[in-house]
Amino acid sequence: MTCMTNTDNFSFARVMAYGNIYSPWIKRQLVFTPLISLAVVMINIMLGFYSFGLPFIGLVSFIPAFMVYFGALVFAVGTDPAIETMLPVKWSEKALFVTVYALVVIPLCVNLPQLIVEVVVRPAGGELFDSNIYINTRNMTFGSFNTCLSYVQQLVPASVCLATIMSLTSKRIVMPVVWTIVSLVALSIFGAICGILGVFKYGIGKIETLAESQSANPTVFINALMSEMQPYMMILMGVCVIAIAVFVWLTCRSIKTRQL
Amino acid sequence: MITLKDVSYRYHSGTEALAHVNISVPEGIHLLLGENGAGKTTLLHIIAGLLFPTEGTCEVDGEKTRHRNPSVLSKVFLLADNFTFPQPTVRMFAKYHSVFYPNFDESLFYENLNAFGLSGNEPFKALSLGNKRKSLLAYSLALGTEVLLLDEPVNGLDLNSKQILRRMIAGSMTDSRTIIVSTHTVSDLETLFDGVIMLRRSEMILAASTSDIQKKLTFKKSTVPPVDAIFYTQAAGAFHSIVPADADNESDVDFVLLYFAMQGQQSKNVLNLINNQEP
Repeated sequence: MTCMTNTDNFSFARVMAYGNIYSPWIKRQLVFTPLISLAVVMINIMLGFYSFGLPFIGLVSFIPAFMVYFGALVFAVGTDPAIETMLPVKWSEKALFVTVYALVVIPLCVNLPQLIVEVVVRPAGGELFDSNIYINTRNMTFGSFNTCLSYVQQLVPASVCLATIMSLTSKRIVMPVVWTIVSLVALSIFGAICGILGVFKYGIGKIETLAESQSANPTVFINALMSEMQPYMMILMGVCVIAIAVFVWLTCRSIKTRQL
Repeated sequence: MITLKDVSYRYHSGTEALAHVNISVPEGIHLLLGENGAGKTTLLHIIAGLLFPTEGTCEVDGEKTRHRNPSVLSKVFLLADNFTFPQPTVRMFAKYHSVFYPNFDESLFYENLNAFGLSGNEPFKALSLGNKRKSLLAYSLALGTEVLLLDEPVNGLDLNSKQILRRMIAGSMTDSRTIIVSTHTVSDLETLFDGVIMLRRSEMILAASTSDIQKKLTFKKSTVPPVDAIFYTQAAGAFHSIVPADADNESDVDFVLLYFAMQGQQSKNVLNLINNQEP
């Protein structure tokens, strides 16, 4: 067995070896997450061909979202906080691994297959993948602010889940789930407040007029509405970034100062 | 060498779990004794770096354990009472966990497992308490850490396994190794101990080597009440007593009797004898 260095300098090899402690769960998650994400996209596309499909699209879309929110639970399944704490690994190495895994790797595993389908497969598939009900996102600008906001928003509950797991020494599955749901509710309320403020600022009458004029092309209407809401979306983005930073800091502090 | 300098630990509620412990634990196998709630587990957790002392410092080979640097954590391992890991078998756990411990001896690990009648491929969750314990003991003793802390290691072990464990612990000792065993069932490993550490109500009341104790005290068993005993108890018709050492009659240390002596009014006399009396 290859042995890790036991020096006190930062070691990326040790970071990766630390991740292996969570095998086989972490390996299973890395395999199944993109597969499930891909399956959800394909199911959504198929559901778009049926009039009854819309509510199911919404329900099925929860699955990839939950995979991001609760991705950090892999660090709580079957693990012993004492073993984790006693491991000859620097706290910064542990923090780097868990943060990058939960907030970069897992969201990539979830979102990348969906992006690939949208950017490569759907255009290639033509009418096979078009439907009346499934919103044609090909006409939305990728890399636009709102797309970025939706990705960043995902990371807020994910960071809450991670911070809760790292700070607890017992009930490391139930309590993170509870607090993640609380953070989702809080984020939704905040997002709703931003949306309501934006609507009232823009004017409900103007929105009705815009909707009527763009009724044949809902994508353009949505893009126009979103651009009017931009200031409030910026506030929401700022709050999300700050929240993520706070919870990442809490994660690092919990790992560094954990006592059992 | 483990060095604790004026180590205290207080919970957030204010309860003192350890108070002003000053001790240097040299290489060898040491027994950690104390009543429930005396602070034994707290002491082990501080040495393992799982707890930070409220006051004082704990060092292993001159490095503070509270810094949790890899260089010091790779020298210490605590096998606690409850131990879980995400891998399905102890062999798989060893594969990923042992890479952090440079002195891990894989062949010794398999030898230890074999001695306990295990392969290491058994589904860990399906094992009995005793077999779980054996798997983890087999692994801990093969890690080769300079400091090994065992909290109630014989819990759940059958008589045969206790004998095997005694041989394993004795066989794993080196000149640079320190093993601290916290246990209420002293007799199972009694012949192994090079020293004893006793705690009472969060304070350390005794830390001495077995050889020092043997030079100062003699442990006797008699059918009549002892005349010159510093301390004695009566059990099953026999008197178990502690008397000042007799150069002609060196005896094995009766740790249980010594523990009871240190709990009572005669503890000062016993302690004075251990610390001051010349043979």
